[in-house]
Amino acid sequence: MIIKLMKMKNQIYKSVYSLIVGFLILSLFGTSLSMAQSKERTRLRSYFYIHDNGDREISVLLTAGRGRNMQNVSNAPISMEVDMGDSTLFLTELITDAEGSANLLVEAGYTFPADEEGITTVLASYNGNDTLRSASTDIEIKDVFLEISFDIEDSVKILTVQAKEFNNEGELIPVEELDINIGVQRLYSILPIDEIETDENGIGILEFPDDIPGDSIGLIKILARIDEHDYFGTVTKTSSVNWGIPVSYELKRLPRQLFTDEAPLWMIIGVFIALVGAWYHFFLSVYKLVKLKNEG
Amino acid sequence: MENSSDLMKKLARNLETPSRQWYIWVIILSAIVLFGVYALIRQIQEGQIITGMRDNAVWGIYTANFIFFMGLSYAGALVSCSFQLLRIQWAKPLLRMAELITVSTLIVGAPYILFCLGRLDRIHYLFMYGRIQSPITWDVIAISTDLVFCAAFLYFTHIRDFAKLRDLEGLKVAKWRKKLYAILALNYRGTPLQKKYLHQAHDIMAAIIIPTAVIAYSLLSWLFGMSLKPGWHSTIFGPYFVVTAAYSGIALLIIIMWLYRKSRKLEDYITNKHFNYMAFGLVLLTMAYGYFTFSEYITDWYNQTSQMSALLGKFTDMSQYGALQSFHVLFTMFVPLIIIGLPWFRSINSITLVSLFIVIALWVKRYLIVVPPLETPFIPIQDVRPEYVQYSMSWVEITLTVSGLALIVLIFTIASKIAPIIPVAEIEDVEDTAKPIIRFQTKGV
Amino acid sequence: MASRKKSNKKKSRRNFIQSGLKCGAGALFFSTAATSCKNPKEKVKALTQDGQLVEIDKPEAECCKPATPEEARNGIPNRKFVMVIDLSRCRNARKCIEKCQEAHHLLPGQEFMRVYLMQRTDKSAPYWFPKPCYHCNNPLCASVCPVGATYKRSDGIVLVDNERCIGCKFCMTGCPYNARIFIWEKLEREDEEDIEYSPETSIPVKEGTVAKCDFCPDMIRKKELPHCVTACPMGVIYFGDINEDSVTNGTETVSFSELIKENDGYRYLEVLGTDPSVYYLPANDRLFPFERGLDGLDDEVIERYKDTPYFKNKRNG
Repeated sequence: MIIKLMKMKNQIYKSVYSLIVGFLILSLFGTSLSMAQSKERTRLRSYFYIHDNGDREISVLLTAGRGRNMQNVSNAPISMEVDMGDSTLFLTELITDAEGSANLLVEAGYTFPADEEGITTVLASYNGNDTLRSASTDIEIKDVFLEISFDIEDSVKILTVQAKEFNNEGELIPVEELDINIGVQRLYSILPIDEIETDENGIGILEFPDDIPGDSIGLIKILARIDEHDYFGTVTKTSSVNWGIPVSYELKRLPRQLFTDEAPLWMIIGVFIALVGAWYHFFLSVYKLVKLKNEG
Repeated sequence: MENSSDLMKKLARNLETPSRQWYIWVIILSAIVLFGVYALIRQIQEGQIITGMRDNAVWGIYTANFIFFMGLSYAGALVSCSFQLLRIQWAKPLLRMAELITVSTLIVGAPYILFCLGRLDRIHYLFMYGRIQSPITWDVIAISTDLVFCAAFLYFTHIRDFAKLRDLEGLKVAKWRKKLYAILALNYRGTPLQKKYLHQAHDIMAAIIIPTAVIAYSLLSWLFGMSLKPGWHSTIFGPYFVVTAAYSGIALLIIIMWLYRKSRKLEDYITNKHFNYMAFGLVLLTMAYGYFTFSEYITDWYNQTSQMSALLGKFTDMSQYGALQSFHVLFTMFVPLIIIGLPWFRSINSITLVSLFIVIALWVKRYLIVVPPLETPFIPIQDVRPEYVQYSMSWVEITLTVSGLALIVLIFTIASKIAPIIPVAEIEDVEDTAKPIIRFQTKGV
Repeated sequence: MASRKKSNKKKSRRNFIQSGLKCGAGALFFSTAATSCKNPKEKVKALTQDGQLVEIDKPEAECCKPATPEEARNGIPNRKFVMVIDLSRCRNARKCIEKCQEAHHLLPGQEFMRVYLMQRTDKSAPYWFPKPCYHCNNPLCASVCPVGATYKRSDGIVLVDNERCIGCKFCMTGCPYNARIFIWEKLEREDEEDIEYSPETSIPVKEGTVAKCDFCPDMIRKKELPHCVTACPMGVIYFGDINEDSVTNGTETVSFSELIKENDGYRYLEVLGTDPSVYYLPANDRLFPFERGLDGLDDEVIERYKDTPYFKNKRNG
């Protein structure tokens, strides 16, 4: 009984021992395996923009690493394809720039092959190299058309934005429940005014505020924007209107200002009189000395 | 020989071949001045980093010296010109000393403001791009005008003495000096017309120098007054500075009177009476200065804005500026009144000693005007390097200050070898200057 | 992310795209102009209407040549710049100072921007108070300058022409906010040889002259925010054009007048009549405990605050 127990104990020890050794070997092997494959993780992100003039732009950003060590990858080839269901249509290969981004500009008239909802899926992929792993991403894109119009009713400024898209018959139909941000273009950024939502006619209405300064004739650039929509992407539409308060750029003269190049008149006259008065007397007395000398 | 005289003969002996002691004295002074030149070159080469000025105390003893020496200069001008215009006979022997104070301190004092400049190589920009709105421009104009006027006046008062020296037979000086006297004397022979012209020239210069000096020193005070800084932004600064200048100038004049009286044995010309009168003037100015100083501080003391309280706190805190402030108050306001004002301690020596302390205390006052307000700005001094918080003068600044003093002494030493320190003609030809300055039309009754 | 993208919307299309991407990348937010200036002929691929693939030039960035001292005397037309500093957000991270020093080639002890430890009264809680140059509308520094080396431009910016400054320091005594520094010594840099001096960049630093915060007009000309604004991790500093009534801190854009009205904005030492262009929002409802601002500071920096009332009270218990 005791011997049996002892044997069992031995067996247990043995099995634990072999487990530990096995684990060690495995983990060593594992590390060496991962060392052999120590390629940096990469990540590819894509963005879709529709510009003011109707041009579309697909933009991809390639990064490597994670968190704080994340870096942009430049000079990397990115292959761009359109997903056609069972096949793909190769568009082009882009090379990332110094900031790790590459852009494909698509002019307004060009139409992509799309599914029955009018949505195109673009695939972007990076094949990786000796140090970087491969990465890919896809982005759904669709055209949308924004139209801004201005009306004044009873001296209230009404801004109207209408959103339309193509249906599968190629007709333009209104887009419902679309969030549109309205802002005014400023030096650095867009000053947000309000957010509107389109109704069943694809129309959003905003009562435009009266206290927005414009330029010297009150012109302002109003911006309607859809932000990061699932397939419309970021859509911008601008339009200028003289709804701003005209701003006078003339510099106000401060009372008693002395910092400009022009001195106050009284100061110039004062200094002039003092100097002329003083130096006149100086030369007068020198003149007396000259007379004195000639007298001798 | 009509202009030569016994007095000139006597005094001219001082102008003859200098003694060995004189040379040693000049060499010592020149060495100190040259060391100052060395310090200045170092400063120009290495930049202002070798001074003690830093971002808060952007000005230091250079500026204090500047106001101090300018003050002495204006006082000299005020004294000599008003004595000239007022026809004060007893003061005649002092005139040349006062004028020499004016010119020497002006020559030495004006450059101190230049030592504050970070870019001396751009000094001509003051004229190329000068802005009339800047108090600095006012100062540049006023000081250069003043320098020309005072130098001219100094020369004007020398003309008759040069003529006397030219005509003095048996004057043992080098030939070039005789020639120089002849040129500088401008053919002056003492004809009635020449006397008249010289008089007119004197009076015109004296009359124009007085307002010039007052304006120039007020403008200088406005370098500070135009600032918003607590302790500088004071309406009283213009007249306060002018009174302070007169005060320091009279004190220095007394010291110089004493020095010449002792070293040149001039007891017959610089008499007890002179000390007496000057001491009387000194007491008057002590009271005037005390009045201004009291007005300056009492207004700030009474309404206790936090900024001014901080500054006044530094003046009363013995670990900060309390000691210097006490020294200043004691020796500019109390000691003169006790030693000179009361009859028991009054003597030529005690008056001179008090004057010496007044001059030193007024330098301290200028330091207290410049530095503590800079260290007490509106926005508390924070987030700067610790060595930027307080001013401490560097060896360069001390050297340049000492050599400035040496240069003034050197100018006096050399100037009194060129012409007698006592204006001989002024004393001898009394009737010449006794004409009233403004003539009335008196109608017979 | 959305709001950030919104606020960095640029007029030029290229910049817009880049700023959008920058947000994704996180870092390197405003450093694009410098690189794009060096190689302006970058290409971008475009798909034309008829399906052709072409390469077109990227739009060139505005030229990076800094304004000459003469050009720098004229302000940027029709602009009037203003800064708003939200004291409730500042935690003395000192990134503004570091970035500013880097951009202006300053030594560690030379700061255009300083952060003060302020207390309204000894009963009130302390707060951090960043202080740039206030670019006063009635600048005493410019009034007293004897040579016109410091001047006020039509766009509100007060600049120093370090090639004209004679170093008299009169402006330093004139400024009631001690915003100016004197270049007592200069950082020796090898890369400064090719840099042409411009009052708008304030580099190369000129020894023996006065320098100060310049609102980074070189950045403004590139439609970019001053360095302190972009460097601040807390979005403390808002910058913009008062003519447009709009300020931004890089992440959000707000109406200047509403911001000041609603938060009781004020200017430091208004009583002096200097009419500053820098406004403060009071340190109410602050985002961080004030002590956070002392974390991780160098001893040398902590030493700079030792004479403040806060530390004095602390020492006295």
